Parts: sequence; C-alpha cells; structure tokens
Amino acid sequence: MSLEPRSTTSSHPAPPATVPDLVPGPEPAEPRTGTAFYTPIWLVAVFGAALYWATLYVDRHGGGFNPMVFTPGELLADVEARVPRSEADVLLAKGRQVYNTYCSACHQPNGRGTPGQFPPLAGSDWVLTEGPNRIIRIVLDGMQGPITVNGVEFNNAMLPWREQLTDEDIAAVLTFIRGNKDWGNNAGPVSPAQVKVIRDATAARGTFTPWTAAELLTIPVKD
Amino acid sequence: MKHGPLMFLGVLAAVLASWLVAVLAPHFQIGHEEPILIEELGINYPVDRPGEAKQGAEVYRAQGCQYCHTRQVRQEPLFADLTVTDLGTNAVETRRVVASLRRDLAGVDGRRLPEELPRPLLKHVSYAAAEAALRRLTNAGAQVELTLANLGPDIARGWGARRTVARDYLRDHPVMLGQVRFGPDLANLGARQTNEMRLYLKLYNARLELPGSTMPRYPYLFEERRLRPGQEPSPDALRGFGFEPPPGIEIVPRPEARQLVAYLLSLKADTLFYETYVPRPASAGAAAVTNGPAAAPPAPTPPPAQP
Amino acid sequence: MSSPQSPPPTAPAAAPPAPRPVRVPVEAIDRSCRWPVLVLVVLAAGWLVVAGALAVLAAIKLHAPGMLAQHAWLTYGRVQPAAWNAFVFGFASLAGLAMALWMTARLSGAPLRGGGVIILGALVWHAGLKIGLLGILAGDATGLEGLELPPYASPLLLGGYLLMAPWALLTFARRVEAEAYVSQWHLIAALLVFPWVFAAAHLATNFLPLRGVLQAAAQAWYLQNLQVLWLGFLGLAAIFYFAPKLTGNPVPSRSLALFGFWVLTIFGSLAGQVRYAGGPFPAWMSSVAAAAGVLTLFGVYAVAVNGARLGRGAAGRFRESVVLRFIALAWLVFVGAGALAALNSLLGVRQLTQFTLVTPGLDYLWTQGVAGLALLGALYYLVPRLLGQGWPVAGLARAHFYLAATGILVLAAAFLVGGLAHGAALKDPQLGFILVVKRYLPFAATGTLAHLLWLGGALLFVLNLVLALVRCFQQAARPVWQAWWTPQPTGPQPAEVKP
Repeated sequence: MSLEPRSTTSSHPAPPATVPDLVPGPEPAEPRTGTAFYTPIWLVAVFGAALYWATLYVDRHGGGFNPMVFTPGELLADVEARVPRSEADVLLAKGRQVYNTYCSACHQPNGRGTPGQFPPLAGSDWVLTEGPNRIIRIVLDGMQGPITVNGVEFNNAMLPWREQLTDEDIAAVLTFIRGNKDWGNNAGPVSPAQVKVIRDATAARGTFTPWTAAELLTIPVKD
Repeated sequence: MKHGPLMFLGVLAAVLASWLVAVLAPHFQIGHEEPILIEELGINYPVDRPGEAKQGAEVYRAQGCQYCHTRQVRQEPLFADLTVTDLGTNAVETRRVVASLRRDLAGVDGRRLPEELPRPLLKHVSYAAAEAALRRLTNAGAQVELTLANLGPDIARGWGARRTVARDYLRDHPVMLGQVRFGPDLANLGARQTNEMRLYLKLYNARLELPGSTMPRYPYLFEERRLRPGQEPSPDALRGFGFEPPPGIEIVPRPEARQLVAYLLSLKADTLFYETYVPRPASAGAAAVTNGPAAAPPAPTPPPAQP
Repeated sequence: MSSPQSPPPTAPAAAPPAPRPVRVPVEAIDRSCRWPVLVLVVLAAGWLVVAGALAVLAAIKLHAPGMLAQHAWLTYGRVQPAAWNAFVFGFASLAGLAMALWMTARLSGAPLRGGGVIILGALVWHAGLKIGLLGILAGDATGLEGLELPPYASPLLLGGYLLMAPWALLTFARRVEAEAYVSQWHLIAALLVFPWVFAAAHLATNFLPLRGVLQAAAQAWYLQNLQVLWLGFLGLAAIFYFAPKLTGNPVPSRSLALFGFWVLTIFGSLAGQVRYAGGPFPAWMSSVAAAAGVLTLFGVYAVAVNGARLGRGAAGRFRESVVLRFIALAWLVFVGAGALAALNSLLGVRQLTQFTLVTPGLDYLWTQGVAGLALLGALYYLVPRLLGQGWPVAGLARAHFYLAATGILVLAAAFLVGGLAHGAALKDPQLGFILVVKRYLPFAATGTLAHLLWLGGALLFVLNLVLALVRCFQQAARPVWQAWWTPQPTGPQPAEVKP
C-alpha cells in the first residue's frame, strides 16, 4: 500500500531478503542470542586483577576514608601536619607516647605511682619545680636510694635512659609529665636544647651512675 | 536469565549499593556537621549571610551563574622541598639526622657539608614528611627552609588561599558548585573584589572592562532613568571605571542587582580551620619556636653546667 | 487507519489456556502499541525540535553574549538547562518509553495493554515538562545541573512515568519465553532505575534537602545513573535489538553480554562522583568513584566485542539500512564515550579535564550520541510498523542520518579537543583568564555548528513524521470523506485509491 518506491530496497540484489527498515515489509525474525563464545577466561582474570587494582587505588587516594581529608592522595597525617601548633603541643603529643612506652609501667598511666614503691609524678614537688634541671638528670642517669616526695619517703631504684631516649624524647616526656593537666600538673615545657646541655654536661659522669637525692638537691632547679 | 525476579533484585541491589556508598555513607560522615567556632575571629564559620545576600543567592540561581562559574577551589596533594641553610652549632648531631634522612648522604664527609650550604636535602616529599624532618633538624640546632612545591593552579591564580571543603557550603541551599569554568572561579570573589561599582558594571556589561569577555550582559537587572535637565544622578547610579552613561540618562541597579552584588561580595572561603590549614608560604627553621638563635648560645660552653 | 494486513486476527492473548502462552502475531502486537506509542513519538519529536532550537540558542550565546541580552528568560543560564531538560526528558525519555513499550511487547510476544492509561501518562509527563521548562525560563530552576525542574513540575513527570512504565513491566511478566533477551535486561533495568533515581535525587536536593555539599553528591549520583542506567541502557537496548535484527546475525555471546550488563549496572552506577573529583568532598568519595569509573571499561569492552562481531559480514546492510546506520553509530559513540569516560575518571586525568569542555562534551556524547542516535534509529524503524506504511520520503531519513552524525562527531571533536586546550590553559596560572577564554572559545563556537546540524536533522525528522501522519490521516479519512461527499444512492466506494 502506497509504499515509497525508492526506499532502500531495489539496488542491492546480494542479500536474500533486503532490509526492510523504513517500510514495513516481511518482518525479520526477532533477535536471538548465540553462544559463539563464552566470556573469555582471560577477561575475567583481568577483571579480577582490575578489582584488586581498584582497592589499591582507593587505598592510595582515598585518605583512609577519613572525612577530614579532602585532597585525594593525602592522609590524615598530611592534614594534621599543616595544622599550626606551638612547639610545646608537639612535644606534648610525643611525650604521651614516650610516657606510655617507658614510664607508665612504674609510675602508672595516671601518674600516681605505686605507694611504697614508685613515687607519684602527679602533683609531685620534684616534678613541679620552676626549672627541669633535676628531673632531666634523673631521666638521663636514673636514681637510687631514699627520696622524699611530697613528704613520703621512697627507697627504690630508677633505670637510666641516656642510651634509649633522645633529647627530643626526654624533652617530650618531661613536657608531658610537667604539663599534664589531667594530673593537675601545670609546669612549663622542657626543650630538647635544655636536655642536650645537661646530657653533654653530665656525660663525664660515666654511664650507669645513678643520682642520689642528696646529690640532686645541690643542683639548682633552674639555670 | 530465566529468573526475572533475580534480575529485578540484582539491579535494585546495585543501585541501592551505589546510593549507600555515594550519598548515604557521606551523609552519616559529614551530614551533621555544624558551623565551627573560630575563637581568634569570634565567629561561627561559615558565617550566616545577611538577608540581602541571601536573596542574592536566589538571583544567582535564577540567572544560572553556576553554568559558567564554579565555586570550588582545588588543591593537589601538597609536596615540599627542604633545604639546609645552616648546620647550627652541633654539626655532629645535625649530620646524624641528615644521614638518617638521606641514606645516600651518610657516607659523605660531614666536614664538607657546611661549605655546600644551602644544601637541598629533600625534594618533592609529602608535606608531613618534610615537616617531621624540619622538626628533627631544628631540634638538632640546624636552620632549614621549607618551601611548598605545589599549591595547584587554582591557588596560584589567586582564586583562594586554600582549597574548599565541605564545611564551606554548610549554609548553602542549593549548593551551586558548578562544573565548567567558562568564567573564573567565584569561591572567593568577595575576598578579591571588594568594589561594588565594579561588580555592578561587570553585570551591566562585562565588556566595558574586559573587551574579550564572554560574560552575558544583564541589562534587565538595571533600570534606565531619564534625568530632568539639571537633575543630579542618584548616588548609586553606575559611573566611574571609564563608564559614562549617555547624557540625560542614569542607570540604576534594581533590587535584584543589589542583592546579587551583596551575595557576590559575601563569597569568601578563606577562613582557616582544621581540615583547611595551608602552611605558611615559606617557613624557615630559624623562626621556629624552640631552637632559634636564642637557645643556641648556651650550647658551646659544656663544662660549667656541672656545679 | 487501514493497515495492509486488514484481516484482523484479533488475538485474544488474554486467556491462553495452554501451559505456555502462544506468541501473538507481530501485526497484532503492533496494533496494540499503535496509539500509545504514536502519541509518545509525536510528543518526543516535538521536544526534539524544541531542544535543538534551545541548544542552538545557548551555543550562540556562549560566544556571542550580547545577543538578545535584554530578555531575562533568554539568558544563557536559563536557555542551557532548558535545552538539556527538553532533550533528556522531552525527547530521549519519551522516545525511550515509546521504544521500551513497543520493544517489550515485541520481545515478550504479548500485546501491550493499558493504552489509554499510557496516553494519559504521556500527557501528564508532557504537561509537567512544559510547566517545568517554562519555570526554568522564568528563573525557577532549582540550581543543580540536571535537577533543574522546579518542585511544582518534577512530581508531574514522576506521576506520568508511573502511569506509563508499569505496563512495560506487566507485558514483560506475561512474556512467552521465560528467557529474557539482552535488550529486555537493559530495558527492565532502565525502567526500574529511572523513577527511583529521579525521585531520590529530587527528594534529596529539593524536598528534603541534604546538608551542604551532600546535595551535590546526590546530584552527581543522579546524573551518572541517568546517563548510564537510563539513557545509556535505552540506547543499548536499541543497539542489541536492531543490530541483530537488521544484520540477520545473532548476538554472538550471551555470556559476554551478561557480563557487560552487570559490570555497567554495578560500577556505572557508582562512578557519579567523578564529576566532582577533587571537589569539596572527602577524598574517598572521589577515589571510589574513580576506581568504579575505570572498571566500567569492562562493560564497554563487552559491548564493543559483541557489537563488532555482530556487524561482521553485514557491510551491505549498512549501506541499505538507515536504521542500522543510526544504530551502528550509536554503538560506536557508546564504545568511544565509554572508553573516554573510563579514562577520564582517573584522578590524574581529571586534574586536566575537570571544569573544561570535556565535561559537557562527554555529557553530550551520552545523551545525544548514545541515547539520541539509537532512539532516532528505533523511531525510524517502529513508526512505519505502527502506521502500517513507510516513511513518505526516505531521502529525508538518510539526510537526517548524515546531519546527526556530522553534528555528533563535530561536537565530540570540538569539545574533547577544546577541553584539553581549555584544561591546559586553566592549569597555567600565568595565563590571565581572558586568555583562557580565547583558548576555548573557538571550540565552543564550533559547538554551535554541531547543534545547528543536529537541529536541521531534527527538522527533517519532524517533517517526515508530519507527512506520514498527514498521509495516514488522508487515507483513513478518504473513504469516509468520499462516502460523505458522493451522492447517497451510489453506496460505498471501493475502499482506497492508490495515490
């Protein structure tokens, strides 16, 4: 019926049935799927590898799924490093770490020590001095013999840390101990330079020569 | 696929999963953020816009400004270079730190180091690593210089002092981030352009100031008024910056133009807080709090400390 | 409307007593589709021209900002979204629904039901879109690209959709053969996904807005699903239906097609945040989307392999069949755009291409290239079957193909190459912004040419459709007319006369 005569059909004799597309003709069969081949196994393998790559990619660029990290490729540490802090803040954070590693076993995480064995650091009259000269020495070379802390007598030994801890570590842990507000302490920070001066000055005493309380009391708390 | 229901469920599960990951998970992470108190400035950031600027946001939306202007500043992962400018008084300690930072320098004869100053130590390392190294070196008494290698082109162009983060948009609805930069980024327009009249003229005809500009004119945001002879033009009529209205006519912004300009002036994302801090452009070790020259002098006199 | 197959089989199909229902003859299926699908096609054709005209206007305004600047409703920021919405919701969605309804009936071997309701749904959708578009031009757009339809218009679209699409699903449920064909997977997935995505995104941004940038996250998710799972899958359904049908080859590997289908569904759905990569979102959102975007490459590869094998040895058919040419080009664009989109999702590449012409360029390729071309091919095929007669001027169809193909290729080349130039310029902070404008402007201006070509093709299509409808109407009316005109006593004339 009134089909357009020049519609696609006439010229090409080759295929058995011409393609009827712009005119309704004998309707081609509905399409079918074949099974000429299955999904190639290499494709599945590559896909698996790509999935693995994707996890690596997210790991590298995802900022550890932290909502504070906005630039792909950075981590929270990068963001934190940019936050301006005073030097004391940095030492405080590091000091907490050092304290938990080396000190808290005896002096306890809460800094109260163990009655009769290990003197307290929280509120201690040895810690909360104007300057840190004495306690730097204690940490460097250890302590032995009787010592009176806050009016209570202790008689025990403390290990020297001269070899294990760097100036920065000692400054950090002392800053943490002296300035720990949770313990009620509020004394000034200790700088690595101060530790260094005393370390160099006391190097001549030789290793493993712990201080005694009497010896320390002769040293001014502050330069 | 004989199992029609299975396909239904599969497709639904896939799209549900993408909704969970792309929208819901972020919602639980940052969907309840509140404006943050910035103590030094005494503000709650982001600051609520004044009423006129809020109406201006509606004008911005209705004119479709976001189809040509983005409002987001990008930043690439930050890298830094570290240069030693002075070994300080305790060269031994400094060299020890240098050697631990750069294994390949461990064997270099330490005595030559000072002669080669300033010596580039680390190049293009992550900012966190450079910062940590800077701390160690300054603690050892050295003076170092930390330079940022890349803040990205957006910041280099002056489109912002820092990248934009989710918190910047807390008070916006709708959030018009924009996807194409046919025009410059506007995240910090209010910080770099403070002259109202220039913005009015820009809206009236951007080609007055920039002949090649492709920004559309918005003459319908302005009103042309005929002046009676001898009448002074009203104070807010467009003038200046090389623009003179035809004689006997004044061009006055309509309320929409006023609101839009108030909004544009309020576009600022330069307040710094935790996730947005950008390091000082170039921080020198000498300026660091601990080990400046003030702390260094006691060091060279070791003996007297022992009383 | 007198169809050539006048003896009506009147296939009942409603009460198949046998355990396995019988495949209804093709003619009966086409007849069941005729009115609802024709209404959809006519509406879609109208929107095609409207969208084309608006797109041309927007493209001109991009490089000639002074033109018609005194009319608020014609500013670039309103014409551009109007053009996009007219194309996506006017042409592509309505033509897609037309094709989906007809194709589901054909493939299921069951007649389409719900004709009147479908027509009602189409009119509701059409009215909603018209209101929405006027709203956009009046300045009521919601402000989020892709979700501009104002809150008083979008529910109408959803309502209209819910009147139309379920009939396709009902027809699918009554299919003769249990095993669904490739096109049916894509259609069913598309039909299921669209209302959900549309409703969820409009809810999350307009009605119950999420906080801050999460609106943009929902928008990116929506745009991705709209482009891949709605428009892309409609295009793929057409490709997988017409390519085997017109070449006479079966789809080579069902297994591979299934693999591709699921990869595209799962990962294509997830890659939306690529749009805002590096934006003010937690970094993990961008990187998850980037990884998912790269993985879609496997789905694209599956489509590429199946399609390439399908076309083997069918060169002659391409020369003969306009429909096949549309379909083949749509396939080509799908493979190209899919590969480019996968590449473009990498964060490193995104640093160059973001905020440039590449973003709209890829969007155009998905909407106009894949969905637009494939659906035009589908309409060229199904309209003659519905009317029972061929297109009046086949040459117009052929010309339309060349215009549309040139338009798409010019657009792709201009926006992708121009995007790279644009990106390189943006990356150089020494370059003042006015110089950046100078870099991308020639390419953006070329877009005008592309849109003009596309509009020209659209006009030819509409002209052809109008001619076909007029002729059909004439033929249907002639016997009635003659019976009324000729003097009563002569009685009924012999039905029709050849033109």
